[in-house]
Amino acid sequence: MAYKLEKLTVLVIEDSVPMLEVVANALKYLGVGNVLQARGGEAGYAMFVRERPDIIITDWEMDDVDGLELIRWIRNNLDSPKRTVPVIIMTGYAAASRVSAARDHGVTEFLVKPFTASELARRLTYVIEHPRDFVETEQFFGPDRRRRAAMDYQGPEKRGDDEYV
Amino acid sequence: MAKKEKYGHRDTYPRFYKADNELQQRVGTGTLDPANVSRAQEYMNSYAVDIVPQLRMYLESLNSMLDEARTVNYQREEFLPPVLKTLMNVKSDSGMFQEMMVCRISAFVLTFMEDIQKFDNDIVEILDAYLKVSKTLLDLKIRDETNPHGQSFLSEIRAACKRYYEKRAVNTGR
Repeated sequence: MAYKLEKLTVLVIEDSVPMLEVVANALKYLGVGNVLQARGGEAGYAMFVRERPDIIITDWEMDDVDGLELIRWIRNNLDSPKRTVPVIIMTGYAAASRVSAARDHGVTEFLVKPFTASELARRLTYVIEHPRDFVETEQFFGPDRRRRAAMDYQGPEKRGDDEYV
Repeated sequence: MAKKEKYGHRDTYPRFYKADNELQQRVGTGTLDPANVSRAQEYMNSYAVDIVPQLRMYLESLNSMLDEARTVNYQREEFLPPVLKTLMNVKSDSGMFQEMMVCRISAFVLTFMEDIQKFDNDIVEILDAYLKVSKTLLDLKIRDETNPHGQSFLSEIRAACKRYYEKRAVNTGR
């Protein structure tokens, strides 16, 4: 059975016109039903509030509002219509410290440029197939940062009795 | 275990929200049509944009940063963020728009710089060599990453970075 991507609305946020165009059209070729485009973080946030997309794909380095600041707005602003929306960040950085910084800002998935259509498709389907739990503390609101299950862990379950909202 | 005991005293305690399966329910599970993925890739490969002027602008700005860095003898590390950002931009744009050889070399230098996190005279010279190589690749329209001239340029840059690591190991005992 195939995914029904035609039921999906994806917002792409990029300040480079060729990059915005290429990512948006590649998503259409993949079968995404509704692809919204915004040039830059500020316009992107306004469109997110207005259109309430299912998934956001944003560039990291943008001149007006960068990707990490945009994610902070999405996760924390009072007018954010869906604080748990999956956000895929695109960037040419690939160092572990960058991935870690993105994760600490509430990014859902990381897509390293340059990428292929297949890699884009994989990230998209991953966020659909693996929705993440969210954590809220005084300093952080975002996807649960624990990704790996240590199968041989024998110690106490630190969060075993946590109550979910 | 009581929250106070687990997290210490706080005004507020962490709250956990269960994953939302709404997208999965709407879109379903399964596979992506491989024909769609191929069509998307064909589109990406054939997207017609001349990215070279943009790449030259990035390289020119890197050149200006290096000129400025040569006049500064202290706190050169402040040059690192803009230099890394420029390298990242060259790597991303060249790779997304079929300038694969420039992408390959930029990716290598970016990884090296992110690892080293230094901006001394030797680094300035390595970046200068990277600049010359990238401009030459664009001038000669060498796009394919298997091109032998491109490969030999990449080997030169690799060797320079290796010498830097060796010199640093001697100087720092690492």
